[in-house]
Amino acid sequence: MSNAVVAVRNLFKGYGNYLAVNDVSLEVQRGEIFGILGPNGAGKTTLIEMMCGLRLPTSGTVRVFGFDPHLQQLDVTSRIGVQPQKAGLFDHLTVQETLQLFASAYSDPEPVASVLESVDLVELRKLLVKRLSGGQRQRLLLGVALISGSELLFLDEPTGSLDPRARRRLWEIIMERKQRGRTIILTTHSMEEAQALCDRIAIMHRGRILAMGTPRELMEQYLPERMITFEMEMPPDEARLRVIRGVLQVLVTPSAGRYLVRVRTAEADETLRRLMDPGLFPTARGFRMEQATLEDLFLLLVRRPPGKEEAV
Amino acid sequence: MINTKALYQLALANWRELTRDYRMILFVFIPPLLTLLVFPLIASMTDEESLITLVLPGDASPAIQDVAAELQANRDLAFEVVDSAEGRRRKENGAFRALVFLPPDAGAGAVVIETPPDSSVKVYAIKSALERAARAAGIPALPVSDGGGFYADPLRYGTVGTLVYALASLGVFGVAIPIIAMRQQGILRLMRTTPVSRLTFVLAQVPARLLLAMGLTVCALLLSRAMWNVTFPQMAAAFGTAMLGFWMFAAFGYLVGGTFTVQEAPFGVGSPVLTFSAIGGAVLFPLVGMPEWVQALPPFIPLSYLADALRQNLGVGGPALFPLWLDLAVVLAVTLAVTFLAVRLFRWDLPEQGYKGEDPSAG
Repeated sequence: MSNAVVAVRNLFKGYGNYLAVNDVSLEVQRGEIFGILGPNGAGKTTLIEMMCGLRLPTSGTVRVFGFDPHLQQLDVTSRIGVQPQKAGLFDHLTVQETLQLFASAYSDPEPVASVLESVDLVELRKLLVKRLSGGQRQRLLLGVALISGSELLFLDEPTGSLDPRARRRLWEIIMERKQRGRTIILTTHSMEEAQALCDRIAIMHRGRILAMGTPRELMEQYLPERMITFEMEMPPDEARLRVIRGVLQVLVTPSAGRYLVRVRTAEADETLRRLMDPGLFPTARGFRMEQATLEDLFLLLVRRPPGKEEAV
Repeated sequence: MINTKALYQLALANWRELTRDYRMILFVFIPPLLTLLVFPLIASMTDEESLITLVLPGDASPAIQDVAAELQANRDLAFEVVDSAEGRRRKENGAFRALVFLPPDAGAGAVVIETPPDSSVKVYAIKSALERAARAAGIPALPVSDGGGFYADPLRYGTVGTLVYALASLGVFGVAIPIIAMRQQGILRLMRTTPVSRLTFVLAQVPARLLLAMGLTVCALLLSRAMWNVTFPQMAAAFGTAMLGFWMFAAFGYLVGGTFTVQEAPFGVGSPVLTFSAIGGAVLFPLVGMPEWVQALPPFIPLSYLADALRQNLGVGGPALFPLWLDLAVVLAVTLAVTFLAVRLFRWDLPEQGYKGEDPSAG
């Protein structure tokens, strides 16, 4: 039996003549951090808002804990915490009063004091919401989601307007909730964030999911190549390099009397073994092997010509 | 389903929002209070320079003689006391601006006020003076018959009308505008992601507004008591009626706030409707002398039932438009119907643009 807390099947959402979400299907398992990655306008927010019942799908189904978020709203909202990308708060309430208000909506909320500490707003707890900065407000919105004590959290670009220190703190909060067994679905356009936090990611572009899986799976599937970099005192024989098994590309750059060589290969171990053979390349030294990043993968997927895009 | 914990916290949040934003307090209290001041001003501009003939029967009791003395001492109206024979003579000759026939005793008939058809004498001013004089002479109630058209004291009529208008403003605008603002700011959107039901949210808006409505009503009732002889039981009945009326207006406010998405809409739509209702419903002044089609409007306007009930509660005088039970029944029925609609049609979010493309699932 599936352990999915969220199941989305053939989901579409259109505005005017435009499909913001186009035939999306996915499942999110209990206890995982699932990231929806994509540029602005990819359809991430629309998708997450359909999952938490804020938007009605044009067609397709969404089930959260087996319930329809629109028709069985209370069954869903009582078990989720949501931090929308944009939402208003009562301007004339203090930070603490705001959290008390939202805590009252749930049967088993987290203590206000602990959430205040989590989102680093203890010192500002008596400040009116209207006096908060953009980043502080964002943290309070996250606090509103956390106070629910819910087993499933939807976070829509939670670090969008945070400074690097606050962003790292927020990552810690998210990881801490994961350790407590919570399921977290977040949207982001930060590759770094997705790589640091997510067990699985879905890469979205123009309303479609182009790739989905763990970061490692995706890299192995779409960018299995490694880049091997080394230096040589003499100009390398490029023809000899190209015939090594697995080599896809060779780049040679002269640099301060030496030659910087970059070899892209699909069979890193075999290529490296041959490159390090003193009989073949006696002056080669300073070997480094690099893997492509999520950013490379993202760029690879979204830059494909329209006909070559394949939705998952 | 009602979540009592959330209801309390939401109600508290509403109270804090209202009381911490002084603009809302000004918006709620200043316009009605200014309107309330208009009617005493109108009343103060009704000094009668015309000489009023006061006919005192020869066998008048000491109490009635005291009433006559009090009237003669009136600073605003000039009364000339004559006996019954002189009174009849003047009536036959038509040589009078206003004739006021006093009964021989308090329980021996009504005061009769007669004015010629073209008279500019304000009968309500004479009635007010009579009432004050009777109270001063120890007579709790002195029935008055003017035998002509409907005359009502504008001060009393206007005070009740202003209370109704103020409650309507507070109920409709004071409820609708903050709800629309909350929707525009995305507060309702956030609330929708929580297990708070629509009913809980709507009910939570009530206490803060109700307290303000109670404050307004108490102000108006105390003013009434200061201006004319309103008893405490009358005040209690009027208070109950006013609260029922406020519920009706608040329900209209929820209906407007729950369905409209632009903050200017309640003013744009509500102000003309409210003004028309106040005039056509005989809320601020009676419709005597108006064209027949105007006089036929009150049965179709909910405000007229509420104002009529309050006038009866507070003994404003003049004929009632409807029986009191009918007034209250209509207000209650409208209130329940609009409340039902408001809860059903309440919209958390701004409307979305629809999809006009091909059926996406067909491909």
